[in-house]
Amino acid sequence: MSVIAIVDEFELKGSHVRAFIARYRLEYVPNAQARGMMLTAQTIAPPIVLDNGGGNNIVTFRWQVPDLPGWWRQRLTAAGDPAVAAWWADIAPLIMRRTRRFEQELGHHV
Amino acid sequence: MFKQTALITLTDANPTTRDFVSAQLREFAPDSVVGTGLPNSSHGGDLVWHLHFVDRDGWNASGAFAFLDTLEATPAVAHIDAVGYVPNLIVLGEPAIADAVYRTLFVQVIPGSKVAAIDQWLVEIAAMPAYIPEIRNAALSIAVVARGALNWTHIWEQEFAEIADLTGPYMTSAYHWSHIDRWFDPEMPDRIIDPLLCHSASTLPNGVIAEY
Repeated sequence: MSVIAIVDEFELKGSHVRAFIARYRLEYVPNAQARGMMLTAQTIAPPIVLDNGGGNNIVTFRWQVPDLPGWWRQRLTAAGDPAVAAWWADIAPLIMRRTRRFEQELGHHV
Repeated sequence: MFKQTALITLTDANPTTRDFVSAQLREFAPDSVVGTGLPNSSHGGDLVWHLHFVDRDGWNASGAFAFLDTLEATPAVAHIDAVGYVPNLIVLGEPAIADAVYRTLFVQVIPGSKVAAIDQWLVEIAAMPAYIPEIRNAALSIAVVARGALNWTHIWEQEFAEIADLTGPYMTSAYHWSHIDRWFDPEMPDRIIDPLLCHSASTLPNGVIAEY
């Protein structure tokens, strides 16, 4: 079983971008790392914070776990920690829309 | 057909306790099936009790649901989660399955979840046997009555040839962990299922889903 990417994508009002990123890095990242998730990339599109109007930003955090046992580890650890779900509920007012998806190399499946 | 499935948690692991409660179940309903809970469960019960009825009226007349109150009041029983439902068969690939593993999932859809999301979840769950052929038989049903830790709303039942089919292919299928699981994962925006659920694996001398 190959590496699994966990991709968090957020649509944010430009005025919320800095506050959201600060909280994600300060509050969510250490918890996720403790569950075995490794942060591999952080991107923003368009690559300018739209805090003077003109649209929304898409902020993406890419994580990875080494294999499926690692995926279940992060999943079940989060399920057993009510603080994780509480964090997502608490941060929700800063997020317009979000998705989390899981990816693997195409060659393993097609 | 109408079915009652009960997950009975005993107060201790003494075989005498298990035999005592099993005898009570068989005395109440000699034709019922009693499975033994397997350690791969979570809130799954030490005994899994299957009762089949011709229809809901027959179930009502049996007093089987009220009997659970009586049973839970005995010192041998710690807790009972149970549901009554009209079974909704999804797949019957091996109707004569024997010495099998019965797995059921009692879940509660979080109140206020969107109907469209619930419908989509049901469609996706029902497709699991198409991606995980180790699910030999399966049913996905809506609870008519429920008791226990939560007001269970749905029952997802499967029969496997052996426990390794549940702990292996069922749990490792990407259809499961990367797709279906989003309805259950408290980190996912799509989540509609309460994190407290009954995941029960048990022994099954003969398949029960074929009777659905």
